[in-house]
Formats: sequence, C-alpha cells, structure tokens
Amino acid sequence: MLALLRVGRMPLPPSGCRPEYKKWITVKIRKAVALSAAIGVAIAGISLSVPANADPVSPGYSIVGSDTLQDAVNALVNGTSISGTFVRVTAGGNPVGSFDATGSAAIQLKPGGPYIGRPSGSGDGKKALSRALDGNNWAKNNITANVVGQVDLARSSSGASTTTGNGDINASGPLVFIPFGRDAVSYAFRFGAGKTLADAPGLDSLSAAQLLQIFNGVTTTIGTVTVVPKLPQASSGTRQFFLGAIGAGSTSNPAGVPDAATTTTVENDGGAFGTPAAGTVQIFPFSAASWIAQVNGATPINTTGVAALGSAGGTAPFTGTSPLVPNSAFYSSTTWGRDVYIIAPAAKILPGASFDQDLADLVDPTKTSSLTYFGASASPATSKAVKLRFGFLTPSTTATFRTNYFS
Amino acid sequence: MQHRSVSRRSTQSAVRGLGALGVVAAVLGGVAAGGLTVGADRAQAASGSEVVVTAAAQDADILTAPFPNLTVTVSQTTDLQAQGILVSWTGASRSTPPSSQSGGANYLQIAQCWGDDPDNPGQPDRRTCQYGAVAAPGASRDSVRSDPASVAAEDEQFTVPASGFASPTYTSIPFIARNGEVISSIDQVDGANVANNSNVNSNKFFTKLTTNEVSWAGSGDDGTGSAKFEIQTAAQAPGLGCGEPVTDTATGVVTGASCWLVIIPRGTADVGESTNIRSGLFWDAWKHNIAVKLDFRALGTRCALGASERQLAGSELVSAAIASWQPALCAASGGSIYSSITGAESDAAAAANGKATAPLALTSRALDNGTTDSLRYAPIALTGVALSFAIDRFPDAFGGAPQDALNRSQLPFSSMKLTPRLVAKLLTNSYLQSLPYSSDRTHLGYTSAQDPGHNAQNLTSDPDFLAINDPEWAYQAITSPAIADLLVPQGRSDAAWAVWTYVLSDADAVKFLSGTPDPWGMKVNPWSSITAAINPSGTALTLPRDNFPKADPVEVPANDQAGAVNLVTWRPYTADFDTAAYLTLRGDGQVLGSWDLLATPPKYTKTARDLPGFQKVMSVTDTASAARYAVVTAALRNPSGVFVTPTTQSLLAAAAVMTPNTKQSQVFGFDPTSTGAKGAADAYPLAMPVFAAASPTMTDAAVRASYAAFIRYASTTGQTPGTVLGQLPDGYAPMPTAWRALAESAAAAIASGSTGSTSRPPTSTSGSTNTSSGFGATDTSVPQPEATGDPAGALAGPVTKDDPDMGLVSSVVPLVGGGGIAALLAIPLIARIRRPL
Repeated sequence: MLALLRVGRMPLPPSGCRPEYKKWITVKIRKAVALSAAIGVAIAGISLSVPANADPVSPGYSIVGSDTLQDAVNALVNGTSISGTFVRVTAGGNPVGSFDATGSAAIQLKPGGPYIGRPSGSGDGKKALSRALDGNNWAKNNITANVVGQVDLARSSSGASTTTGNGDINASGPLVFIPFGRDAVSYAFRFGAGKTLADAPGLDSLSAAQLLQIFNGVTTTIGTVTVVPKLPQASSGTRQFFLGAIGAGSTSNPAGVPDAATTTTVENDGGAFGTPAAGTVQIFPFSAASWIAQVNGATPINTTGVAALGSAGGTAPFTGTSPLVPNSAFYSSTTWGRDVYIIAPAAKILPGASFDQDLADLVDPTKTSSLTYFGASASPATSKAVKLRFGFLTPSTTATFRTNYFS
Repeated sequence: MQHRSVSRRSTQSAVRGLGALGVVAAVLGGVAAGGLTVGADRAQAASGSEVVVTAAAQDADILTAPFPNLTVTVSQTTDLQAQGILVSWTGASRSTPPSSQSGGANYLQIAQCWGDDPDNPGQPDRRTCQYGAVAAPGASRDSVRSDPASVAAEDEQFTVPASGFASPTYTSIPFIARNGEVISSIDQVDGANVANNSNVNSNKFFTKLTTNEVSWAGSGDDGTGSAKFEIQTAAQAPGLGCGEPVTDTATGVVTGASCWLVIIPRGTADVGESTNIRSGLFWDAWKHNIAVKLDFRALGTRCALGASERQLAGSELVSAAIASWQPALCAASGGSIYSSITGAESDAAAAANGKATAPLALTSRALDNGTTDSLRYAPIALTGVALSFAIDRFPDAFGGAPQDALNRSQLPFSSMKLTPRLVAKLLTNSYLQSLPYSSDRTHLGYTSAQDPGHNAQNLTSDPDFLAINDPEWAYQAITSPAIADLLVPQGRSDAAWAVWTYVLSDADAVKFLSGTPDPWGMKVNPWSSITAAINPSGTALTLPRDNFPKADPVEVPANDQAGAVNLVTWRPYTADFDTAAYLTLRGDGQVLGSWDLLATPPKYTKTARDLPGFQKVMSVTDTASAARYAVVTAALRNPSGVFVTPTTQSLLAAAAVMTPNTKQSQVFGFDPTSTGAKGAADAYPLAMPVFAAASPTMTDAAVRASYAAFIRYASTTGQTPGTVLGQLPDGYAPMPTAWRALAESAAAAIASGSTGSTSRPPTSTSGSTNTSSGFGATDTSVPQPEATGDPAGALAGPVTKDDPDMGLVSSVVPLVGGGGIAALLAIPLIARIRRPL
C-alpha cells in the first residue's frame, strides 16, 4: 500500500495492503540511512517491505514533478483497480517509479544512482528533467548531484514559459509536452467556529474580480465573516495559475497574503487550513481534480475534511455527490481550466539514435496503455478510465509541443 | 542586489548610448505629433489624419468574422514618428483575459507591419509584421496544430506535416525584414518542409522586450474599447524600417517609408481548436484583419562626419527639443553638432561657470554654490513637469458599485485632480501599499489587515483624493504599489526642486509633512517628515530638494524562502523622465514579483506589465515625454485654486507670472507663493523654463560663438511649433517674445565675451521671489554619501577638430553618490532606441 506522506499529516497505516502494490516494490531505504547516505552512496539489493512513502527506487523509468498529477500517476504506475478493472502502466514491462512532490528531502531514483534533492512541484520537475538531459548539476535541499540518466519523465501542471531561451516553445526543442488530462483550479474554503455559509452569502460562488479583491486585501469581510486568504509557496504551479486567473499576475505577491503564515501552504492539501480562527473563513486555491480524487477515495488520503470547494466564476467544479463527477463546463473554461502534461525527452521518443520504443509507448497518447491516453475508448481498462476517477477530463488538445530546457 | 533593477536599467541605457554613434548622429525623430497631446491642446497635432475603418469594408470573409460590426478609429496616421497613438473601437464583444494556456476570448491584437501582400494588393503582408514576440498562447508566429485538417490552404507553404505523436503538424509564419532578410523556422529540404532550430518569435529584429505589438486588447460590455499603441520607426524597429527616407527619383522629394497598422480580431476559438491558442498570423485569423496605412516623417539627415562637435549638458526637460533642433543646426553651413549629456543641472552650471571650456549648461535654476556667478542665462524653452498615469477601471465586485460603473470596468480613466498634499503623500511613501506588504508598517499606523489604521492603502482609496475627484473613483477597488507612489527618476534635477517647491507652497501640504494628520487621520511617513522631532532619523527632511529620496529604511529581512526587500527593491527608480512616461504608456508599474530560488543567483522576478484594461501606474515625467507617448496627465491645483493640466495655454499663463531669482535676476521661474501666481487662474503650477548658460569669460571664442548660434536658433526658429525637424515638438509652449529678447542679448554677450550688466527679467511682480529657502535644516542634514574613486570620464565619440579638452569636464563634473549623473553619454540625440523594458 502506498500511503502518501504529506507535510503536517500523520501517515495512515495501510489497511489491507493490496498484494499487487507490494510485489514490485524493489528497494526501500529507511529514512535515517537515506539521509546519511546523501551523496553518491549506492545501496542496492536491500529489500525491506516498508509501507511508507511512494519513493520506490526504480530499475525502469522515473518520473518526478507536479503534486497535482502525482496521485493519478502513482496509481497508474503502481497499479490500481479504481476504474473497476486492474490497470497498471508499464514501459514495455519495465516498472515506472513515480516520486511524490513532497516527502523526504533526499531521494534515490535508480539503483546505484545518487541521492538527489527531491523535485517538488511542476517547476522542479521541468528543471530536474532538463538537468538530466543537459548534464548540469541538480541542486536542491542543499544536495548537488548529477542526474543524467536518473530522471526520465516529469509531471507538470503548467505548460511552456514565455521567457526566451528558458522553457519557451521551440518546435525543435529537447523537451516534449504531452497532454495528460485536463484539470481546473477553484478555491477551497473552511470556516472557523461559529460561522457557516449562511453568514457569508456568495462565498461559495466568487467571481475572478471578487477573488482578486480578496487576495489583494481590499475585501476582508463577507457578510459577517472575516476572510483570510492563503496561498501555496511561490513556485507552486497551482498558485501561479490561480493568481494569473484572477488577474493578480502569476508571479506577484498579492497584498492580502503577505506573511509567511499565509503563504507557505502545500498544494492541494486541506491540512493547510489547520483550524481556522473563530469567526473567520480561510480560502486558498485548490485543484478541482485533486479535490475530486480525494473525496472519491481515489487517493489514499482525503485531506478535504469539512472544507468545501467553491464555484469559481459561478460554475460548479463538479456535479454529483458520490462519486463526484468533474463538470466539463467548468473544466473547459479558459480562465479556470488547464491542461496538465507529462514531459518527455524529445530524443528518446523521436526517431533517432536515442529512440526508446518503451518510453515512447509509455507516453504515446494514441496507445490505450500509455500514461497519456484520453481517446475514444470507454473501456475501464485504459488509463483514461483511471484518470477520470482522479478528476481529470479530456485535454483541450492532444497536440504535443516542444520547448527548450528549463533553467 | 536591491538595486538590481535600477542599475540594470542605467547600464542598459549606457550600453545603448555607446551603441549610438558618438559623433555622427542619425537623426531619429523623437518628436510627438498629434494624438493625445499634452492636455487637450492639439495645436501642433496633425489632427486631420485620424482614420476610421470598418470590418464591413475590409473583411472579404465577413460572415466568419469574430466582430462583423467592428469599427476602428486610429488617432493619427500621417507625419508619424516614434510616439504613442490611440486605437479605439466599437462593435466588439465583452472580452475574456488571457491565461497561461489560452489567449482569452473576444479581443483584438494590434501590430505594425511594413510590406504589401503581393498576392493581395492593397493589403498588408503577414510575413512583414512585428508580431509573435510575446510568445504567449495566441500571440506567437508559430504553433503546432491539433487538427491537420484545420490548416488553411494559404498556410500549407508554411507548414510541416505531422510525423508521429511527438511531431504534430506545425505551422510557422516567417518574418521578412525590410532589408530582405528572412527569419524562418522552416527549411525546404528535398521539396519538403522541415523544422529548423530558429526562433521566429525572438530574433535580431524583435524580442519580447522591444516589440510594440499589443497581444490582447479587450472590450467592455458595450463592445467598445481602446488601447494606446507605441509607433516605432526604423530606429526602434530596424526590421520594419518605417520612416526610412525614400527619395522620389522624379521629383526629388524625400518621404518616409510607410508602414501598416494591423488590427487582428480574435473570437472565442481558433479554427480546429477549443480556444484561442494559435498564431494570429495563421490564415483563418489573419484573413479578418483590418489595416490602416501609416505615413511617416522621413527620418532626418545625418550630421556630417568631422563637423565640430559641441557639448550641451544638464536638463533632461529640453532633450526632445534638442533632438528636433539638432539636425537643422548641423545642416546649416558651418553648423556644429550639438551633442547632449543629461545630468544634474547644478553640476552643469557649476562646470560652465569659469574660463575653462565647458559644455553649454542647460538649467532651470540659477547657480548657487557660493561662487561668483559669471554665467549669462538665455531662455531656450518653456516646458514643465507632468504627473502622468494609466489607470483602468476596476469597480468593486462586492456590490459597492452601481451597474453603470460595473459596465465600464477595464476602461481607462482620462482625468484626475491632485493637490499639493496628495502629491506630498505620493512622494513620501505615506500610503500603505508603497511599502512592502510584509514589512513592519506600524510607523504608518498599520497594525494588521483587520486594523490598518488611518493611512489609506493607495491614492484611489484615499478620502482626500475622492473628495475632489469624479465620484466614479469611489467605486473602484484597485490595488497596486504603483498607485501608492509615483515612478520617479534617480538622480538630481531642477524638476524635482520644482515639484517640492510646489508641494511646499500649500499650507495643508506643509502641515501634513510636519506630522499633522489630514482631516481623515492620515499621517506622513515619519521618515519623510520635515519635523526633526518626529523623524526617526533625528533630522528633518530638507525641503525643497533636487531629488526624490526614498527615505524609509524599511526592510523585509531575507529568509530561506526569499531575499530581502527594501524600499528600492519594492519601488525601483526609473532612469529618467522619458522612461517614466514610457513605462506609463506600457502600463508597467515596476511591481516586484516573487523570489526565484532556482535562478543563478537567486533573485526577485518582476511582475509583468499589465495588459490594457488592467493598468495601474503613475509617474513623474516631463510634458514633452508625456505628449510624445500620449499618456494622460493629472490636473494639478495651482496657487489660484484651479485644477489645471499642462497645455500650451497653461504653460504660457504660468510664464506670464514667473518671477526672477533674488540673487540672479536673469533666471526666473514659477513661484507658487508669489502674488502673481496666486492670481493666475489658468497657470500650470509645474511650468518650468530652461536656460542655456555659458560664461562670457570662457577663453575659447569659437566655442562661445557656437553656443551663441545654438541659443539664437533655439530661441527663434526653434520656437515654431510643429513636427518638421527643427521645429518645437509637442509638449513645449513657444516662448514669450520677451524671453526671446533676453535670449538674444545673452547670446550676444556670450559671443562677444562681454561681461556687462545683465538685462532686467521680463516680469517683476511684488511678492516673494524664487529663492532657495526651504524647511528643516538648511544644510545637508541628510548626509550625502561620499563619492569615492576617480570620476568616470564623459563618454564621447572620436575627437573632432574643435573638441574641448574632455579631461577638464570629467574632473569638474563629479559623480555624486545616489546617481548624480544619470547617464554620461554623448548621444547627440536623446532618442529612444529599442528600450529593453
């Protein structure tokens, strides 16, 4: 059973560990050993069946990066029956190791490989993959390592950058973005003691302009409730997308969320609410897919608790109650919806000296057994069926695009 | 690191200055003509060239057009130079702003192109457009295509067919420069299209920082909208070559090469996609374009190599006029090339006051450094300081605004009124948002978000402002540090002195600066107070002064998440007044972004400039720059109690009541405390004269003769308003006759070297005169940092036969800590050349 270790939450012990998860766990390193063997020490061949984190050292391929996609990708590569049928995605029979965005500071991706600082989020995923291809060192969490051959794929909840020469679109570029699914970003809110939605009419259906006023600190009260906005940290793709969507500017520091207390929350984690003070309501951006996946039990842990997901722009992000079903009207919005991607090296999936058929099939959207499939098949045996249960919808386009390295 | 943005800007202007020819000057017209002129005065404008075009008349495919009823008005289409124009329209639909993955919905894109389409005469060629540099969705030159069937026949030649999921169909529109050079990311190999590694969106001809394209211009509920557009000539956009001189072989008439202004409407989605994500140059979007021909003034003649060069140094306010006069001066037989160095006027005047050969000083105030003033002052221009702004409506979304205010959301405000007390608040970081959000702002009365105290967040939420302005301002909920203070240049200037003098002339403003709260309880930032007792530094702020200090030492300390933020990091200086107006045109408030931990070294990013419809920025600039960039300026309350914007009439009204300096009667200025000023209802209170000053005791007679020639030209022919080279650009008022007489007598004295008595000033009204009295300690109570090291020499081109000995200049003109000389460059023309902003 792969329980996801998230900051601020106790890991739940696995209940009824499914044998299919256990059978391919190759190497597990205890944390203390891992940290003391920070650089360059290979510990191979030790086999411990520990229940804890989703950091398998993979003799096959590795994928790092975004938090938003990690639950779905973890389930796909580890095997899941969430769609009704057991689905597991491999690369020509080779396992794929998907590494969470949060967890231990150091991870070892492949047997014999170095311990590296864990890439945490879309930005890190893009950069770590770029370093694995251009040969420069990857420095994170005070660990500097060469990661060539260690990182094979990246998960990303954001697309190309618009900075010339740094992750910008290049039709001959070394990275290929392949659409994985479509997510949407809304806002979650949780009341402190003594207040409910009746005390703050309209809070569950805020427009972009209203959200901008809240995050700018212009509006601090709705109804009789004090509003406390919060944001994930600066490199979070969800934060940048949300701030861009409400008009604050994706790299800005809005006036209503200035302090460390309100800006260092993890992404897509209801634990960020803590216990809101009495008489207040906290709100912060939340991926609709992640919300739906957690409430539906697709993820091992549901962090949503007593919080609620608002209807940004007035459109509900999901319909139904059990299971929650993503609302395509919300997801298709150009303001709130976003395609999410798997990033692969162009050299390995295009004809040429480095072409790797297994990797290409792993990310080929025309193959029902790939990570990125979202085609016409309604069979529960496809990755599409799994992704739907994780709250993703069909991406707005299946066209891939290429970019330069990210630095 | 805190000064990164400041120093980078200065360095870049220095680099560009070096790139500009030191001695030989291509005259690059930097003169605004028409469009939104200073205030409402269109006297100098080529106002007859406004053009109205419709989609119905131009779009052959109107049935599939996004806005069949689109009507576009372009404010000026002839006699164009590097300037701003206004593009406005009706008949569109309510827009959706862009996101990181979509270009938005129902918007217009505006670009400048140079060539005619050989297949469609009378229409622009999409391959010649400066477009795509933004490289955002919907605003690039190239993209992949989701559906190969959606590729129009006209795009086939620019398309690489798909070959597998990792190589989808790819279309890329090349750029062809005026000189024939082609930038293309597609090669023809064995008759097939193959992608190469070129970047068509960022290349030697345009980049994201230099392009003038408007990638998104939105419309309100009523389908109307407007956007400022920055016209670029061959100087800013060599790939377009607009304005390059073209000689008609038959008649010998020289005209400027013409260009196109192209408006591309975008609907809800591209053909074959679910949103606007592909290039506006692809045929299905391009075919709906509306185009207007732009006629340019011919970029002027070069000054001949080897002609004697003369230096002018000092005031930036007169730069635009010198840019216009310079080519006419050097073209005259025996004419010199007058190259201009911008810097502190007081330094230039000090350098000129002696026998040694020195640049002709350009100053607005008299020399006041304790030495005997031997200078003769000749008035050469009547100009002024303007407070410009670009603020778009953002009404309260929580029911605080009536429906008609909500309907006007995103439209720009076109006027505002400011009093001296409001200007004082903007200059002293007294508004809460002008200090870093997570800093300790208790000295402004701020405790927490729930208990912010009595200091307003920014100008637009200040009851002091709302009380005198249109009621619609009260419905807005705009937030930005860029409307909590003014973008100001670093360095010393007489213009800063004039602004502070204006502030101090008002009793309410003085009380505020002394520490008394305003009627709504707002208090001055104590670090900028003129009362020593409440100023935490122990000494009062000396006012008036010749710079705009950022006195508050507030700092957000560095932590493991981000670097430190002090006031200059938070609110950087601009390089000069021209830059401030340019930033206002582009809606760039210089707002700090987030910390980039993984950059090398880690640094703060800058928030991107705001799109039209979401702009909020205010700046201190000069009237000539404001006119050139067509930015809106604030109406200031003059000593007579009337709110006045800068126009030719209001500048002249102020000139009529200017009073002489008590110690130097040749120099006069607008004294807001004088009786004449208090009676002048039409006067613009920040009107400023600029004097050319040289000493008749200078030993080099040839140099003195050159200076006299300059003064004579500037004060006579150079005062004719107009857009032709050699005339007076928009933003200046032609000098009164009495001033011209003074200029002539000063020129005669300088030329002859006589040190006889000076003539009387043109006006002498009773009342206090333009002295240098102020508040606080009279001496430098705010310690100036010592300049260390050797002063840098002035940067100049190769030596010409009449060059003065530059060594003397470099030792006389000091580099004062704090950026005394903003840009020591020998740019003959102060022209904006491809600013990387």
